[in-house]
Amino acid sequence: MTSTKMIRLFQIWFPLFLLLLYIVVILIAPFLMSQDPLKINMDHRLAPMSREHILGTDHLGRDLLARILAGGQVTVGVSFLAVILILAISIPIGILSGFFGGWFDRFCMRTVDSLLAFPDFIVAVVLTGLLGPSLFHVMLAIIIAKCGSYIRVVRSIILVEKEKDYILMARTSGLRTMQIVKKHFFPHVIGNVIVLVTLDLGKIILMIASLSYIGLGAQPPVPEWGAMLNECKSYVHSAPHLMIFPGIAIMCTVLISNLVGDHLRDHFTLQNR
Amino acid sequence: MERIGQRFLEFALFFLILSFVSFLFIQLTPGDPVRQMLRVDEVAVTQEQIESLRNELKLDEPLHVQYWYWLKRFFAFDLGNSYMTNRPVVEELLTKFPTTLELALTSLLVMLMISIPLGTLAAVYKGKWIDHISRLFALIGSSIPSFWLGIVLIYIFAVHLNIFPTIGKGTWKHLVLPSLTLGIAMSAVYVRMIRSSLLEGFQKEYVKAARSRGIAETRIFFFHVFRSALIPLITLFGMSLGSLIGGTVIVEVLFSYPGIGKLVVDAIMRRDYPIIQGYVLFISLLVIVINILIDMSYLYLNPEIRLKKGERK
Repeated sequence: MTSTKMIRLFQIWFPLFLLLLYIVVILIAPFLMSQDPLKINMDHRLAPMSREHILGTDHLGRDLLARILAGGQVTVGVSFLAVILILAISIPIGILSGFFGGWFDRFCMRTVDSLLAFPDFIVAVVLTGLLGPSLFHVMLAIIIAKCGSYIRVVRSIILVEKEKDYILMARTSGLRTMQIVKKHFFPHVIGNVIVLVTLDLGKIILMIASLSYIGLGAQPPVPEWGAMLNECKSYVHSAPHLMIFPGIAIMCTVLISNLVGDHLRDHFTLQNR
Repeated sequence: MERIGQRFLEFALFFLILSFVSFLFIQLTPGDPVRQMLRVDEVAVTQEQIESLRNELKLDEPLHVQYWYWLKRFFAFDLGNSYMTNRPVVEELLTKFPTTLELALTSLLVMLMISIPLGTLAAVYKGKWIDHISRLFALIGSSIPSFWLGIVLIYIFAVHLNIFPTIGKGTWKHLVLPSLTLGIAMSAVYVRMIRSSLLEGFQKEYVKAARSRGIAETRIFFFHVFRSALIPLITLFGMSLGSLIGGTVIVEVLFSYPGIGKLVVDAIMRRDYPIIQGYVLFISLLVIVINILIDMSYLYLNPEIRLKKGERK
């Protein structure tokens, strides 16, 4: 690999690396906090920012900073897990559907079509509605709501790729189907899908926070950013810090993942041109 | 017309499958619906009451028979009664829907009022400060959770300035904050789309031709560029439908605005399955109807499609 190519690869993927680093930091940060995010202390309720409680305390006297960090672990952790599961489900199905075609393909596409006819937020709301409010159900619902479009993207990439000459070459040179999938299709799919998924990560975080905010996701006392905002709804007047910081936390995380997603998309569309 | 007919058939089939799935879902959900229904009154339930209601709902019959009864009632617009209020589901949905529609339309208006001028300015003054502002607006706007934006608006306009009420509905003032919240949240995406759609329009050959003929810039803009940009705008409207319906749910909960979004969230909290089911069917019908309308508007707006049709005759 030449050094210019290395630099280019670095340029493309470094922001993604930063995003992953950010996620890892969010996931381990709560372990570094001395305060317990669940510890109720009614003597210190709605305390303003101070040395002891850097961001103040909430209506039950719980430390807000500890809760925001713990909430990040929940919100970002669940989103990240959802993203990984979406990829784990949709890549194999998409490859199978595009590569083999036939009744399986038709069945998949019909299902995906009907799923995609609905706004994904509504699919998620209704599914959590039927399963019952809980964070796990929200994750499940988001996975189902989001999988459809990924399956379709993966399938369309495969459909284009499998007609290309190099696949024919690989076939005639005796490569088995599994090997073709592993060596040729998978690397091709994964790059495109990572771009998409980074663009979607922000939306998924927003979706989890929104669903928790309207009471369908994380249930108290679990610290989740959306649920925290829901809990402090009645204190907008007396303790505005309770609504400012979780909101900023959501916004920053989504902003970062959107920026990285945009960056990756720009690079990939440039490459394709 | 052929295409629309075909789509209609597709949707009808899809709707039938959906009705079966949503019927099945309710059958499969944990908990006994009879107990759910009787529980709402919070009084002791006798076995007798349970049996009589079970009989009334035909819950003892096999599944396909139940589905048949359900379908028959469905076509008579009878989706059962809400567990919460004991009123018919259809009635509940239809009385709440205009409220949601009101919110959706005013939000769309806000969205257009923000995104069309900002998108146009960003396209006309590409690379200037207004373009950068629109980019910043889009970036931040798509990263802000809409419910948080709503809370911030409440904090500024209701708590501090005390201009607008925060909950309920009634006067036009009740609509301002909810539709601003939803409108701003949605416009972030559309500003960029309108900008790029217009920029593409400026590059077209006929625009260059018009310019070389010495036609005034404003005339070119309104008659050539903007008109052709209308078609993507309609696609946009179709795409915004999702965020609009989803957005109304959040905003209605946030502002305690009595529309169907609030209705369904309350129903979910209380496990009021008939309402949830009614909502699913209602929304899918809505999505289908709007999709068909959008298809039809393409036919009307896009001269290419219209002319091709003429050729075939």
